[in-house]
Amino acid sequence: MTPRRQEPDALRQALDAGVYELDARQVSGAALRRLIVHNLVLGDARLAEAVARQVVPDEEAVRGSSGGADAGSSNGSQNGQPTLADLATVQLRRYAVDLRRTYESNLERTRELEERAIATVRSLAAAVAERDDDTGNHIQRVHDLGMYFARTVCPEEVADPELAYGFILHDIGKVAVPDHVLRKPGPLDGDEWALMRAHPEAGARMLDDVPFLARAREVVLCHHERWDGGGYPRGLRGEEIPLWARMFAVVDTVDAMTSYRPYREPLPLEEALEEIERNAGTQFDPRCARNFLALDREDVALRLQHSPEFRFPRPVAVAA
Amino acid sequence: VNGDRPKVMLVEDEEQLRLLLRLTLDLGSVDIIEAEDGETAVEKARLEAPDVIFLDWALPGMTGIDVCRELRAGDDPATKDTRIVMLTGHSGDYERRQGLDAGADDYLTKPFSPQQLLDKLSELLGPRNLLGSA
Repeated sequence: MTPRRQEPDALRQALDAGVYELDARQVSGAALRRLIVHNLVLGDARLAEAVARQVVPDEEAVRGSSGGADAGSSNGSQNGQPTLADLATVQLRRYAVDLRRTYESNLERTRELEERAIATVRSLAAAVAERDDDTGNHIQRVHDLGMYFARTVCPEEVADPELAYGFILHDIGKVAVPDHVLRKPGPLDGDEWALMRAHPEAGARMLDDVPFLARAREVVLCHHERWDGGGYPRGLRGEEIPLWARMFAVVDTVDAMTSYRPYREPLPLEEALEEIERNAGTQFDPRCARNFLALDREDVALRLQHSPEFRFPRPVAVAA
Repeated sequence: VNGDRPKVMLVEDEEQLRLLLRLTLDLGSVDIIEAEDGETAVEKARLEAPDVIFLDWALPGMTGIDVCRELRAGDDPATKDTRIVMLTGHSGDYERRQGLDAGADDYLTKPFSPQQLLDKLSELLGPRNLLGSA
């Protein structure tokens, strides 16, 4: 009489419960193969090895059995002889183990590629910094403050490297702004403003064909939009403006107000925050403004410190 | 391949192996179309115009060789540039020649490793154009 085959789910439950000793004769070939695939490639390696050891004949055992060695634990075998199904299962198992290794080394390679992407993004940011003396420190500060702020607004997105890329690259379009405008030591006139206001679109164009920066591009394009629709370049309003850009607008403005300009002294943080409060619902997303005002003042001040050491921001979150 | 991800079709009747092969090809950043028998393979290939087909030799019913001949017969624009790789169970010259005669471009002998499959894939898809334009 044939022993009753265990259903895969029952088998799975047994394995989950730590029952690693299985009677191979109670496991059907298909269920076994399904387990191998799911465990060896996708699941718990230790469990997978245990399954493989317990119930799947390894190659040597299958080969050896034709020479009379005991292969009694091999699934589906009769009279100790390996069947074609045994051989197929052995091959499948080897492939699955191999694939797991391939996945692991691929993960390594993905991390390397991520590092290269970060280096590329930083060199783009450096291009703006070369044009504009203050920008390097500005980028560092808005990156640090922006990432800190994002943890309260959209904690589930903080691990997305594109968030940091967007903050770092927000002003990339300024490489297209002429020096006499970008470096003017005083307020801009009408024509000069027009040139300056072209920078979000110029930046977005630069990132048009870079799929891994598609969301970062939205920050670049939309960081001067206003909640009430009075911003530029497109006059988007409310939630038409991507959240990352709404968030960043607050951060960017706070940093601008608390920074030195040739034509004015930096504003104290308290006054800058009052300005954010006054413009909540007009310039800024009221929720973002509220969240920003609720941040710890000392933590904010720490991230706005103008470090004398120039360093380029380095995104902390690298998603695997 | 006009900017989109390359399309790869996988024809394999054994479900678990197909899953493993699919998981492997996932690492190649391609869109994957699956078929578990020859008839479906021919139908989907004409519809989807894949860039590459990995085609199991030993399919039940219509075999891999049959599928290959069928796709190479006539001048269907959907499949005329498709590269076909036979997955054979033997490395013998006879099988190889039969496959190539039927119009296959290449073959992989089972058992192959995941890396061999991926290498074959990138070999067939060719180098990328770094500036992304034609």
